[in-house]
Amino acid sequence: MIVRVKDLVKRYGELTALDHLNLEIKEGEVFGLLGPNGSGKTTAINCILALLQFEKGEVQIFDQKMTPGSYQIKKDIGVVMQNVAVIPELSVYENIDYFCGLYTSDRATRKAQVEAAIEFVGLNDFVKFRPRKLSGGLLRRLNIACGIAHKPKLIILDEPTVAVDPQSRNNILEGIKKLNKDGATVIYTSHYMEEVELICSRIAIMDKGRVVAQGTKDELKNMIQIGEKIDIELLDRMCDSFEKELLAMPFVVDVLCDKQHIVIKTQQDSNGLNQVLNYFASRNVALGHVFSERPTLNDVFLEITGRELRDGNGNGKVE
Amino acid sequence: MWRIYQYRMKAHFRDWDNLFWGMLFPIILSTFFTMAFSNISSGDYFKTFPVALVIESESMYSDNFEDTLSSVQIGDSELFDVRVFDSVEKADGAMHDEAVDVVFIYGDSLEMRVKNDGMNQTVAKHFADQYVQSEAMYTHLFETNPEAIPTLSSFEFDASNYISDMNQQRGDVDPMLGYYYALIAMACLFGSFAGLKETSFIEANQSSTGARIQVSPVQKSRMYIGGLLSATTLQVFSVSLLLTYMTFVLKVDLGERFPALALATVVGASAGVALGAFVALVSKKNLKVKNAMLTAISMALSFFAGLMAHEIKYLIHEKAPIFSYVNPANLIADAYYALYYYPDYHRYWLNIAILVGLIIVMYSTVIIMARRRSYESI
Repeated sequence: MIVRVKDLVKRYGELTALDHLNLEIKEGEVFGLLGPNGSGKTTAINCILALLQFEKGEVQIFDQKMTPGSYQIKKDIGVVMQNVAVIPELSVYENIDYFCGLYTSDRATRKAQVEAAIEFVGLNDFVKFRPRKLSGGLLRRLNIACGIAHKPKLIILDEPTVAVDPQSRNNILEGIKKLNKDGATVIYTSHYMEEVELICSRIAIMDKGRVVAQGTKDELKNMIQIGEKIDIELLDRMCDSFEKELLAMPFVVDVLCDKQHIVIKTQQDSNGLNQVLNYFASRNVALGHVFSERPTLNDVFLEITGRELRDGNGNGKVE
Repeated sequence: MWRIYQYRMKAHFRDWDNLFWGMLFPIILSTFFTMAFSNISSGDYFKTFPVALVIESESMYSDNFEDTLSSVQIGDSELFDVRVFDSVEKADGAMHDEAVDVVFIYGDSLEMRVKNDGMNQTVAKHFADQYVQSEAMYTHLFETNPEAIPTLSSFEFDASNYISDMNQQRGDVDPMLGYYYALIAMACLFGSFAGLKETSFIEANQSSTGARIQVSPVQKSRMYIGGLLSATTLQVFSVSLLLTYMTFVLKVDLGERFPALALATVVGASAGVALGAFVALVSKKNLKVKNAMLTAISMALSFFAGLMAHEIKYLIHEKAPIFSYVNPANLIADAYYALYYYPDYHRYWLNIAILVGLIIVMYSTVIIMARRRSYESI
């Protein structure tokens, strides 16, 4: 086990930020911590890294207890913080060299690592630039390069794509996949479910400092009642006349109706799409577009907590 | 650690805000001082001040001393307003009531009493020292070779000469030096901004770079030593640049005791950096507030050291002497002052020793506070 978090409790006064958190992260995984703002993801990361004191519990990394003085363990960890953590007065190259130098003392090795990191994040044309001259996306890439240049075995990325344009986001996500392919175990926190679905092999969904569900994305989606979401446009009828009938069908979990647009959520393994299409055909309803999809992690979160992942709970201070 | 030091130096020399306030601002201010003080002379600065004289035994020598004391001129007026008392107690009482600044008691030897330190007391002390020295020389000549000198009664002082002689090592005295010393002290204390920056850079609860550093395998102590050493180097350089500018461009005479001046500069700059690190760790406020706090603290301490009005320094010394001994700006300014005005090093070393003590106290607090290895919140 690369990381084991056992019964972790962290409080800020009256507020319980982590409520008996348990996590196990295996070697070679891209482990996603998904949750809305304020769910305790960053607090969990800071406790795992021994930056924050906690009231109860234990953190083990590489099968050793993690403490602030665990320098041997720290040598093999790379961290990309949520906030960009670079030195504004130093150039791109100097920043990466400075932070890489905290791990790698040999000059030749470090030079090779810095150059590889620059290549990896695609900042070759900006090595002499100061951070303030970089766009938000490039700055995020520099932030990542500073965290991973020393080739760590465990990489922790805390919301690395916040406020990043789509192109840079794709580059970052592709980069994380590559780091994992090269052998690093990755812990990735985000409140963007699409990102987590895309890159993570296992996911823990957090809410109010607890893990509310954990598993692969398929395992998570199978945990809930909904198996399929069918989105249909009615061309000549309003949907409310069908709402009650549809809800009465045994395989239908929920129906959302908005004028001529209807979303029907069906149970797992119910072959719902066929049955719904047959239903509308039997009533001579002309259909526009028909779209069917598996439930998202948002649906999983919604069913478990009763709230949307992106609701936000006004509890952002915890992060 | 050397690599950390090198990179931090690079970062300091590229931080224009810090360079302006730490390096350029004191130079600009010293230039304004020179422009403002250019038409003020020694005569304008030294005003007539009251002294008490008690003659314990009348003699030719005592008459001569009284005549000399009364005749010392500064500009067009007398330097001493001499008030003769028939007893030491009455003279002391007058000094206690602040009717006089100094009491001279002329008996078998010349004794001088003061209640407080200050410019007037310093002037009086140097007058007394020089008088005693000259009187001894004349007496010796009178006894051994009376023909060699006319008479002791012709022994006269010229105020401008003896003010010039106050410091036995150089020629002219610049009466405005006190302001320059306070300015140098202020420049030293501006090192607190670099100290604050270094500390904030390292601490995880104060910056995101701090968090990145704390999760690295480098010991905090190494980061602190590398960072604060770079801040001190920068500040020593900044103050040295100011001293060079004042000496060679503004022609301010700071004396010739270069090793002692250099030591005062290093200790002063170190005190400034230590103050910044101390405030950074003791205060829970954010970086902007801490910067504002340090600006206020540096300016206030410099004010009490006489930056805006030199008399403040003496007022503080008189009314709150302990504060003048714990005010690093005052200690720095006074170390330079002592080097210039005093032939011996007693007062200089006292200031340096207290400053070193303050630095030890501040850094001890920093070590205690920084030793915590994880945080309540970030």
